[in-house]
Amino acid sequence: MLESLHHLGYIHRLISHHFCQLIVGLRKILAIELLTLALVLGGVAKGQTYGTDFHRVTVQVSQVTVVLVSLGTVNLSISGANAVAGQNTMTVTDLSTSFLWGTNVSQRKVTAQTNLAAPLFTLKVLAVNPTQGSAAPEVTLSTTAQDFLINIGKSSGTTQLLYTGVALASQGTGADAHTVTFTVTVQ
Amino acid sequence: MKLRRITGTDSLQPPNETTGGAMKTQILYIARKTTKTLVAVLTMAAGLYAQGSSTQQSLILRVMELNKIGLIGGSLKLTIDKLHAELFAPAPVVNANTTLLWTSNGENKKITVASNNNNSRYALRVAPQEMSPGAGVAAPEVSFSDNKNHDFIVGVNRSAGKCVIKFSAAADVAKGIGSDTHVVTFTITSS
Repeated sequence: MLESLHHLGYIHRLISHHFCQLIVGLRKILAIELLTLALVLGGVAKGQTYGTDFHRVTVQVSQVTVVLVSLGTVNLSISGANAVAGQNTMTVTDLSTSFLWGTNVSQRKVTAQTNLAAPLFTLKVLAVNPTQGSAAPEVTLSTTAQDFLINIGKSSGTTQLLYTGVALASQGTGADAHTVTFTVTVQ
Repeated sequence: MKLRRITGTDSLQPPNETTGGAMKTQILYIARKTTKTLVAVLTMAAGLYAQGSSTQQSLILRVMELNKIGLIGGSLKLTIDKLHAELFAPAPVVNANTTLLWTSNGENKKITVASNNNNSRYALRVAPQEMSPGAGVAAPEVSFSDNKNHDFIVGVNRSAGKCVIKFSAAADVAKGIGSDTHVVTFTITSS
């Protein structure tokens, strides 16, 4: 009985020893396989380039100037609310629209003019809160371009358009239809 | 493996064949090249147009007909407390401390005056004076005896002006003592 127990213990140790050797052996085989695969893949990747070619890419930036107004039409109306008893002058203002620009050229300014050669009433425009450049003094619009915004060179920005319509009681009633043109030009 | 370079002109490479269809292929190549160049030029032109340095805004300035009238000076009080030495009657009193102002960009307007008191005990009259030149024509003095509108200034055309309002009050001895209250209204209206 005692010999049988010793025999069983021997068999157990023998099996455990061989099992451990088997695991170590499998690990070695797996490591070798992975190394071989890496070498093969590396060789394939390196050997995939069969030639090169090139072309020249030139980026050229030309003079670009873009301008726009936030709204195409403005209506100004002088009515009873804009008049004071005893005063001949009546005014109305509008600050609802903006002028936007972008230019990559230095030494630039913005001018303003109207197409209406003989208006009944006076129309003025002023740049309010420009993000770049300096507002010129309030412009009384005529068919001659006048400075509206100066020193804007190489910038993009916006400014509010403050229109002021002025009429005298002695001028009576009526309407003026202006096309106001804003132009970025050389300063 | 040969990597093929992909560019936008691959299809326009000049043909190398020298076979029978070479001439036709050459013509086709030139046509394609010309079309491509034309498209490029037109695209550039369109781009430049879109990048214009001017912009326009339509603006309409309308002036409607307007008529404004106002008074400087609040309520006033005329007190008859003196006797006219020669007439042996209460002496009339005058107040000229109120100013009337108006503005009209219309034509053929006038300013009228009215009192709400049509049964006053004492006489009250009103007249404009020190009129702004060219702003209208002073009407004759108005004596309030009813509550109708009476012309005060006429011929107001596209003008702004002002005048002093002269109030005169008188009382007969027979009327005794007391008081009248008037609410006097000035109106700018069509002639």
